[in-house]
Order: sequence, then C-alpha cells, then structure tokens
Amino acid sequence: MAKTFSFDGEAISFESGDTIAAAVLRSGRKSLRRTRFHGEERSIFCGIGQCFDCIVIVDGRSNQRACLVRAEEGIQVEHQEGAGQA
Amino acid sequence: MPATSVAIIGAGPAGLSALRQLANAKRVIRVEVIDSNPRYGGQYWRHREGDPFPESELDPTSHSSTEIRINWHLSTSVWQIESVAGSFRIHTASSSGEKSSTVEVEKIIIATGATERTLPFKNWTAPGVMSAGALQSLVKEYQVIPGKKIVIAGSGVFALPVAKTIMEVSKKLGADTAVTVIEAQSIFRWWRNSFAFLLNPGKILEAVGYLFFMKRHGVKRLSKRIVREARLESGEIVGVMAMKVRSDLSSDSTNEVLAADLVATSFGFIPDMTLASILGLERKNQNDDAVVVVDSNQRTSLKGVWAAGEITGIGGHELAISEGAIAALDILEKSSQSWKLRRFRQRVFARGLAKIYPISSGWNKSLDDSTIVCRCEEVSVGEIKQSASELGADSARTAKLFTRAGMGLCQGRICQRNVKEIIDFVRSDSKNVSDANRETVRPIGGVVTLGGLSD
Repeated sequence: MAKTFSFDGEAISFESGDTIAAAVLRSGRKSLRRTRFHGEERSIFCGIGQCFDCIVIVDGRSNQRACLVRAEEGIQVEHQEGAGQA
Repeated sequence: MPATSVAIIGAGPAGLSALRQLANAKRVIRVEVIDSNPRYGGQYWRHREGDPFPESELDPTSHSSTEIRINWHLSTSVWQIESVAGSFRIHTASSSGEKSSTVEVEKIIIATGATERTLPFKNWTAPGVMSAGALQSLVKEYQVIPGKKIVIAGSGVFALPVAKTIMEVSKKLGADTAVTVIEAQSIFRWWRNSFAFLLNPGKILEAVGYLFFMKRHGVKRLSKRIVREARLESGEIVGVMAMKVRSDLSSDSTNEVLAADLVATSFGFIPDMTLASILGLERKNQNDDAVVVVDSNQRTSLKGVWAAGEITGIGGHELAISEGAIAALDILEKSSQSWKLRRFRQRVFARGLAKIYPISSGWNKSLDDSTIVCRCEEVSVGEIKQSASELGADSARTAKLFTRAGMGLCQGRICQRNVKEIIDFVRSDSKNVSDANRETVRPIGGVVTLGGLSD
C-alpha cells in the first residue's frame, strides 16, 4: 500500500524522498497557502527554500517550507492561512 | 604552517572541488563542510536520495584519504561568523531553525553560490508560476511535471537544460507535455561571443546539441519577448501574454497571447552575498551584481577567508570547480597553475554570456502599478515607486523602511534587486550610482528560532 500523509484532511500518497510540495503537486493540487494581506493563493516558487512562498503547517507548526520538508507517513499538513496562527 | 582546520561553507561545485583538493593532499586536516541542503552537490548537482552522485569525480564518498577528517553539517545554515584571536567561530542552525551549534576553524572557504533571479509580471504570484529552478527540481528530482502546456520565459542559457529535462521525463512518464521557451534576447547576439567560444570549443557543441534536441522534440522557441502577464481564469493559469522587447528589455508594445497552464521564469542568477556581507568582505560591482573581491589565489580582503564560485562573479559550475580548487591549493601552499589557465578561459566565457544576456532595467517600464514586487509582504510596484517619488527612498534599503518590501520571511532575497532597479528607474534623473559595499546586510544569515539560540 502506498505511503500517505494528510493534506487538509485528504490522503496524499508519496514516494520516499519526496518533499511535501512534490507530493502535493503530483496529486494535481496547486495551492499550498493563502497570503495574510490579500488572501491570495500561493504555491511553490523558488523550490530551494529561499522564498518562503510554499509555507504550510506541519503537525501544528506553521511556516514550514513545503519544498524542503520531507513527506513522512501520517504527518498532518495544512494549507497555511495568513501567518498560520489562530 | 599549513592549516589544520578548514570550513567549507557551501557544498556545491566550488565547495566539493575544494574538498577534493584537501582530501588529495594526504595531510592531517579537519574539514567542516556546511550546507543548507539535505544533500551535498549544491543547486547544480541536486539529486534524489539514494541516486548516485551526478559527478562521480567530485563525490566526497570516493575520496580515499584516511588523513582527512570530514565533519558534515547538512540541512544546516550559518547565521553568524565571529573572528576570535586568529580563528573563526561559525554559528549554525538546523534548517528548521530550532537547533543551533558552533564550529571553530582556522580558515574558511566561502562558496555560497547564487540564487535564481526572477522578474515580476502581472499575476506572477499565482500558483503555477515558478522559477525555472523550481520546475527543474520538481521534474528531475521528483518526476513531477506540474503542467501540460509549459512556458519557460526569461533570459539566459538555463532554460535549455530545463526544457530538455522536461521532455526526457515526460517521455519516460508517458505524459503529453508541450514546452515553449521564450527568450528575451536575440539568438544572433551569440556572434558577439565568438572569442569566448573559440577559447571554449566544447561550448559550441553543447549549444548546438541543445538546439537540435529542442527541434527534434518539438520545443517551440520565441525570442525577443518577455512575459507581461499570466492570464488567469477562476484562479487557474490559462495562458501568458508575451510582449516584444528591445535588448534593454523595454517593450515595443506588440503583445500576443499563448495558451499555457504553467509558467517557469528565469533571468540569470544573483550571487548569494549574505555571509560575505556578514564577514564584511570587500565587494565590487560586476555586470550589475555585487561580488566578492578576490586575488589570483581566491583570497578575500579578510585574512583566513577564501571565496570561490558564483559569489566572486556568475560563471557556472566549471568556473566554480576551478576556483574551489585554486582556493584549496592555496591553503595547502601548493601550485594551481593549470587550474588558473582553465579559470582564465572560463572567465572569458562567463563574460561573453553576460554580454549576450544582459538583464537591463527596461523591464520595469511596462509594469502595471498593481503588480506585486515583494511577494512576502505583498508590496506593489506602485507603492515602491511612490516611496521613491514622494518619500525620498533612494535605495532598496530605504524603500524597505517605507514599504516593508524585503522585510518578510525571505528577507529580500527574491525582490531586493528588483526593488533597487525600480527605485533607480524612478530616480534616473538624479544619477544614482550604487555601491556594492552598501547593499543591505542581513545581520542574521539564516533562520534561527529564539528557542534554538537558548540551547
């Protein structure tokens, strides 16, 4: 059975070595977060951890770069809204 | 007495080349290799976990020396360096910023490389617009092709390998992918580089090889155009509007629309000067980039610190390999004459490329005022222009104070250069000469949490 993690409650399958961003984009989804001022959808941009545009919430921790953080079985990833704090 | 401890900051082509020379020396030496990526190889040799290293000669696991002790610090960024009584104390943090530690060395080779430059256009913040480097990494490392009609737009040679990778992986996956490369400059500018090509004949073959590959695989090429807008329909990219430009990238007002669902963009590379600035190394302007000043042995203005690779001037991985080797051989007090000859040829080629693909500031004349420039803080072109025309901002630094552009999580890495050019454009009447030694210095070189500091 394929390994999965959760993205906004939906199961995303991944291959070992995948980053969160790679797995989410492979599933056909595009957006990873929404900006805090204009509420714009954003996704991966620089791909190497420099631009911080792909930040998501991983197991409750906000501002994690989806292009750097490895996908792991069972982690809970959420689309980050604004600064990622309630 | 030769050094017994060296830190190599940046494990890309320059850093790994330096490491090879240190390992080959068969001397008792401790080397601390620090890189923010989880694997060595830099951006140029990004590779998937478990795959063989793409450049076997520089693969650190192939060095057989038993005298050298290599301490690896991967997924680690340097956030501060102190000079203490003839040695250096390097403060590092894990990539999440939550663990910090310190290493001490006598000498440093700084090889922090470059980041890709992108230019803003309307809707470039939408999902589905990314840097060409991001696309290359998704396709090559993860076999993800996030679009069916891909436009790679910008200027410079980097679009060629990216287009090639996409076509190769697309074939392997049985996907149906169309790629169009949009280049801002005319291909005929290559004639200006004939001397550089004569000194580097292998590059002629490489260039011709790419052109044939693109023709055979149906990659379309358009030149003298840049993307003005990504067209969106209910949030999804449906096309791009390209405009014809002159060689200074200013528009000649002919627009055309192409269908696309993914836009990759790339306008060359910018040296990553974060640590060079923290160390206070002497800098200069070269082809509009701030670069580290080095002597013929790659020594910087600070005793005990060498610099190699893109931070001494954009020149590609081969030049970086030569410079890394020269720096390491100088530390070992050995001759590097053959590397210096190579470096000469490669520098001529790099200068030639910079002449073929200049990124002049004409791009910002046709920008919509509503276009976002600072992606983190969502600051628009109009706000930046206003900070210059009404509030007296005269540099990216002062514009930051008025607008927050460059104050977000990326600390201006993506927008600073573009903000500077917009400000210079608005103030073009006041003859703005910018000084490489006065670029913004980030006092903290990477992400580190307060919790990580208190450990």
